[in-house]
Amino acid sequence: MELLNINNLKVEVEDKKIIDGLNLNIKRGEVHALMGQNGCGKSTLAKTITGHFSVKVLGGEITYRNKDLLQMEPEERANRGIFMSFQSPREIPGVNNLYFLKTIINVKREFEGKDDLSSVEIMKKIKDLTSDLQINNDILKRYVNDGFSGGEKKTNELLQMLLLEPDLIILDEIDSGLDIDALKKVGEGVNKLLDGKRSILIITHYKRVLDYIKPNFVHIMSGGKIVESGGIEIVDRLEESGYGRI
Amino acid sequence: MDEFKNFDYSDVINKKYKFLLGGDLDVDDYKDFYNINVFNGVPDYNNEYDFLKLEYVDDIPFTSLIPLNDEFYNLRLMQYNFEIILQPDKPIVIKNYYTGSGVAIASDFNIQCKNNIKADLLELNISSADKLIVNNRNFSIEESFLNYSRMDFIDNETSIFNNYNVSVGVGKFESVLTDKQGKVSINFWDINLNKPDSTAEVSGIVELNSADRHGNVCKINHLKNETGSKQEFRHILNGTSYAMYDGDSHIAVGAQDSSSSQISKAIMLSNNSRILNKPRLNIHNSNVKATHGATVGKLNNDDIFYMKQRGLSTKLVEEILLEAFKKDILDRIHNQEIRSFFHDKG
Repeated sequence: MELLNINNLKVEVEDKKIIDGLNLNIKRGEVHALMGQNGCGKSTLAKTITGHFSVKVLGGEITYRNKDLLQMEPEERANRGIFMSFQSPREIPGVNNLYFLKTIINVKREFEGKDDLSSVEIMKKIKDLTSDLQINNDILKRYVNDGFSGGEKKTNELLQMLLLEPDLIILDEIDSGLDIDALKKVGEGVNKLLDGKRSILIITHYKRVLDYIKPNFVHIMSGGKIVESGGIEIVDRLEESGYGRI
Repeated sequence: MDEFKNFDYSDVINKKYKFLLGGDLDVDDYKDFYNINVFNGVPDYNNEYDFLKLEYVDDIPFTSLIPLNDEFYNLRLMQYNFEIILQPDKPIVIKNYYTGSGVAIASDFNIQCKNNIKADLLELNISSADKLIVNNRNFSIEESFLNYSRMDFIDNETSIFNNYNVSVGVGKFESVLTDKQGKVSINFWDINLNKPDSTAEVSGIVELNSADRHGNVCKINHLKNETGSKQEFRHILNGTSYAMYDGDSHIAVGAQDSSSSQISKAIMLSNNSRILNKPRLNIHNSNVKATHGATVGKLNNDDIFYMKQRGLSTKLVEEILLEAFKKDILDRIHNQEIRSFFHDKG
């Protein structure tokens, strides 16, 4: 069943055309990897799907669960199940991380017409996850990402993701700033969500993240569009010949 | 003070007022505090608490750090000494109730804290109809630590001018004020650090809407060595509001090894609100640490987007970010009961 359908998408950022005629279909349960050189439009695609303020859509369409995604505010997209793990998660001094987690859970539940979870119920959910993922509970007491190491920030993104249980997960350069051990931990966390119903779009330069989160499809982006699609064999070829061949 | 002259409040002081003093109201006490009720500038207190001695001083000629019209200077008012003589085991709240409409009310309190006292004092101004309130507060701290906080519950037609004279001799004075209501509100600080190891911290949150005007004018004089001061004000400005911060840290010749910092931060929620920042250091000794700075900006769009991407509406995100902006300042209130009061009522 189709989850996300992008058809002939054209996007500019600050008066510069970045995406020019991109097509992509993601079905439920699929893991897609999007690779390409710096500036090819990978992160702009993620921003377009999530509704970032800097993006101007010039043409084409995006449907999500057969609904026009481009008509939705960013928070509606999020509450309908689109989650982006940011390449550089924002540091928000003054906002307690635990309070933030409780708020996003109950806002989503309210959107879905469900009752709020009590503080006790949320704490249990969070503590189960932090224990399972071996996350230090200290990050709950601190301000959101404030003064966090690169690994802690990505772990915090993972915690938010697991709590919100999204249907479409966009991982924007999730491996940046992570050592192998941290990447392995994040990869294991993401894989917990792969139940055949959720889908993932991995945006990356490098193969190493794909050692931990295995894609069904690999796409190469260049000049604002997808120029090649296939299986993991594309990545092996890229490792040998680089992006210059494309 | 030239810039201060640009802060126009002539419409408020040129009005004709009837001066009001004293009165009576049926009011509730706050259970977590020692309560002192003050009605139109006159305390309703008969030395019920053994830690606090109140004394009527005299009727005195009106004085003010803020220039007002002649009508005020012809005024005589009742001055009271509040002396904290023993360590209180709960915070003290002074609740100033103001009645009447189109009136001016002035009060003058000397608040003294000596001999190893550590006290937490909250002052509230409560008014529901338009008037001009002028409060003179003269703090004298000797070998003691006083935390003073203030919050107002006043209508948008009332103006409030606060003159704060503070003298610290081997001790610490810390203050957190919130100003979020009132037509014109001004806090005028004149703080003297008279002996070594004296410190003063003045922090404030200013939230303005509509055409509100607010000024924080804060002068701290470091008169002796090893004295410390900190001024930090955070502004959230909307509508056509106008805020002014005029900070002056004066470090005298003999005040070596002293430190001073001044910070003003502003978030502008409207393109039509204005702020004038003027942090100044006036240093006469080369062996000191002194910093000052001011920032003015809007809420960060990337912060907003990050939180919206987690499902929060723009309105909720703004509320959370503005609370976060204020939190640092409110967390400086040492006393848990007073801090909770600010979080609940702020």
